[in-house]
Amino acid sequence: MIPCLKKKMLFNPSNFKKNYNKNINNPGLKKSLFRSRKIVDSRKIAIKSVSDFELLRNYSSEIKNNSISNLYELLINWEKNAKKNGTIVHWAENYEDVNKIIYKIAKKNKVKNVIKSKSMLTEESGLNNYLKKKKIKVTETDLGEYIIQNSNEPPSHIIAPAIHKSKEEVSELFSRIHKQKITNNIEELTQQARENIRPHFFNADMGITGANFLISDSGSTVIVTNEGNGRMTNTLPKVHVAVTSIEKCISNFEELSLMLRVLTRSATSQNISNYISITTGKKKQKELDGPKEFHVILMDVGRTKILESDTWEILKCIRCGACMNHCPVYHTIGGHPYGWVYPGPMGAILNSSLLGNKIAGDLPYASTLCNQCGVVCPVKIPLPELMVKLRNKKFKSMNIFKFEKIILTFWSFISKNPSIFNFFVSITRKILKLQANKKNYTPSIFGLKFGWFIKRFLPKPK
Amino acid sequence: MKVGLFYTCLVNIFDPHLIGKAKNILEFFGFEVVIPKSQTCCAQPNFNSGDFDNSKELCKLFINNFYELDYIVVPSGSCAGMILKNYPELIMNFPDEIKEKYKSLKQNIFEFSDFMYKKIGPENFSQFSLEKELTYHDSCSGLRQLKIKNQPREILKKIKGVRITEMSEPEECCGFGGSFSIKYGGISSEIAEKKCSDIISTDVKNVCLGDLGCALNIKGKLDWMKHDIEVSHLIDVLHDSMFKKENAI
Amino acid sequence: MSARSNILKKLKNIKLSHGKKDFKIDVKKIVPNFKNSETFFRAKSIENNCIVETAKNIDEINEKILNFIQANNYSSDLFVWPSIKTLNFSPKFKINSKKYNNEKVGVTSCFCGIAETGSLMFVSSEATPMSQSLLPESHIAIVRRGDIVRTMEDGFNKYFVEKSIDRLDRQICFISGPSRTADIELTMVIGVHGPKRLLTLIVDDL
Repeated sequence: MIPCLKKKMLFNPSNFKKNYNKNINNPGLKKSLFRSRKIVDSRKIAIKSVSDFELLRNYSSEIKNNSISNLYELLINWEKNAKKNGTIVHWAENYEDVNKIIYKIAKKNKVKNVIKSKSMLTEESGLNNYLKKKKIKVTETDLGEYIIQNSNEPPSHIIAPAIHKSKEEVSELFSRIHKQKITNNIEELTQQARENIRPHFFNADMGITGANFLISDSGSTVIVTNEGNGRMTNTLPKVHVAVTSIEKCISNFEELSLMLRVLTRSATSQNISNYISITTGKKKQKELDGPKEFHVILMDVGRTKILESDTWEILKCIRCGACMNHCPVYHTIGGHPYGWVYPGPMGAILNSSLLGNKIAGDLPYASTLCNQCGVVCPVKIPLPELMVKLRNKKFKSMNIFKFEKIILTFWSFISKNPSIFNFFVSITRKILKLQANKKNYTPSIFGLKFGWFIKRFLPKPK
Repeated sequence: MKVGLFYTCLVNIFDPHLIGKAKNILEFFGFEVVIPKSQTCCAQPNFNSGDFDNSKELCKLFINNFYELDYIVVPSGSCAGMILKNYPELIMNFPDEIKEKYKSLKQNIFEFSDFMYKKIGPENFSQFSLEKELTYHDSCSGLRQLKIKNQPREILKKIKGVRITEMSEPEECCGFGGSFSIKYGGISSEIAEKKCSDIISTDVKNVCLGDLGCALNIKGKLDWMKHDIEVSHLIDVLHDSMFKKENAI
Repeated sequence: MSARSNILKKLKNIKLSHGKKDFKIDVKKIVPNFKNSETFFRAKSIENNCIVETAKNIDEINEKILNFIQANNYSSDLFVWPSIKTLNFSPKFKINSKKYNNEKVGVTSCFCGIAETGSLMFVSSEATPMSQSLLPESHIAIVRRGDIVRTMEDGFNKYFVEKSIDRLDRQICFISGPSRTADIELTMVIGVHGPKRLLTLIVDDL
């Protein structure tokens, strides 16, 4: 059961077509998406600051190949070391349990106010709504997450969740919730967010973060951030909970140093992210800083199933967002039409793998297979290949009377019989020539402007 | 040397003249051109849509048609890419005989511009002339699967009178994506608009490329945008430079 | 059966060998081949919007801090890490090393500097409370010249000379500049939740 997905909800992968049509015709979104293209250029500069970025990609890919293949040993070792340092480790097999575990910790510690630093896994589990129903106040502190929490929207990008919003829209939102001077100036808006979020850091009884990496040799969790809210969240409240999934575990600090080089360049075009926090355990004796309780929730919701499948490589993903930054489809429709936590190429694959064919099986088809994503993926996931594999799964499950299946079966039939094929070709040429007007193009077929003919003509056969 | 021409289904439907033109070009350089009559489709439409089972049979047809030739030339990066990158997995459970045929075939199959570049060489085009200012669009499969980037440009640059003006993002996908252009036509068309706007801002009157899928998409969109820009396959441009007497300088 | 045993049982039964057996990382092939760590560190820190100054001795440290305070119209209240409270700070400063009292400036030492990225490595402890490098509006970090190493790997190696890998300090933190975000229209803004300014003082010795 996916807590945050309801059939009637517009934000759902099965409403992909409706949602993308809405977005294509949204000029404001077009502007925002155009603006976000600058990250493509800044990444090109960032990768030049290592001597051999392609070699670095190979290294990162191998580190992940190895870790994914050895999760049993890595996690056993991680847990042993984490516990040695006072970390309380929980394991969860479904979203309900993730939320329940967090609630139990909150209840035991009489938590009323929670601050959160970005965690995609708690988006998967629908934690915020769950805690809201239990009358626990949750404040997202990452600027982008704060914006979308207050505008009641889902994130549209995994690194910059409010990328679809213009500064005017943020200004309008802040003027409503902060009741301060209205401004379109991005620096002033950021300053307002700082001032308004700050008290929450001090009032919070519990902080919830994600974890970019788990380090097996030391039992540590690592977060990679820029704003400082992640550090506030893992240090100030008396309880800290880190929510992570099993495939995030790597072996040691040598591997971490390497992965960081490729992650920050791919995600935000930085040589290094402003803050890298490596947390091992709770507050030590005599320390003034730090939580008195540190919990890590290791979740496996659907991950082991993917691990055994032929799309296991998606588990290598380090959530940098480079694929969606380079995707022509994402840049046309934005993130929301993907209908769940993850948008873009990795989202199409992961959403479909976790939610199944019925709900999200269309997403892997929403790609030209151009591989602009695959060539920038820092861990060399063959994204278009995985999409085709998922298409195969969807195709096999399709009803034989589905139009698509009929056409493809017909095509393969005639392709196996050359004389029939050539006959079909000549008929098609005749029809298209008849449909074409004097200008050498066809505006529609029998008056139908389906698919191809949306704002486009078809050249007349020569 | 016997060169087999796999002309592709899109060429067959939309521009069969390219077959004769490719033949003329190859024969000019001394190759004996063989065009197997029972060729149809490389199986890409089925494969990319997830229909692996039907794709497998089509692989067999292609392999049997072409395995005995010295070279195989394909005027499409996506079809050549399909045969080179995806056939191995599809034919995995076939009898050894088919797999052996494919193994020998694999080393001899080239995308058109790649064949021109490697087996004929750009220098051999400096004897030709054509007054043409064009921009070149890099088809995704050609570029990212087969590393086709410099080959067409080096050849074009050698032809006297040809000038290449690069668009700002020649490597950006044009939005075709095969069945994507029909299944998600709205998105496809929007992506095509960005590509065409880029082409239009170069101010040239011709865009040259190596895949007919891209050509149909870009031309269809340019027509809709009411811009009269010629869209030519590389074969068209080379053929014009080689065989149109009025182009001789 | 518990979730833990279910998950571990599944993982144990999945036999995977996706990685290469003899895989080795050669970091030298990745990291740019710069000659002088301090020069590179300085250049990278400045790129990261840090202010970088040098100081030969405590007098110069005091001078740089005073200049910084005056340039930013701050009062002379400083929160200073217990690890360096015994330094001969100027009597012009009002030093607090006990409990943070909303001082605008936090002065800290650091474990080492990382030249490749212009970063500072910090380790939490009773004498080095990490929140004091985070809460003040400005952070002044004092790093010894001899503690500037080439890469993050070198930083970890230095740390593990005395530490055992399974008994780390609660937090190791790499800080590479003042806090920042680009969440609105992908436009970078310096100064979000963490400090708005980071002054790095490279000193000969402490």
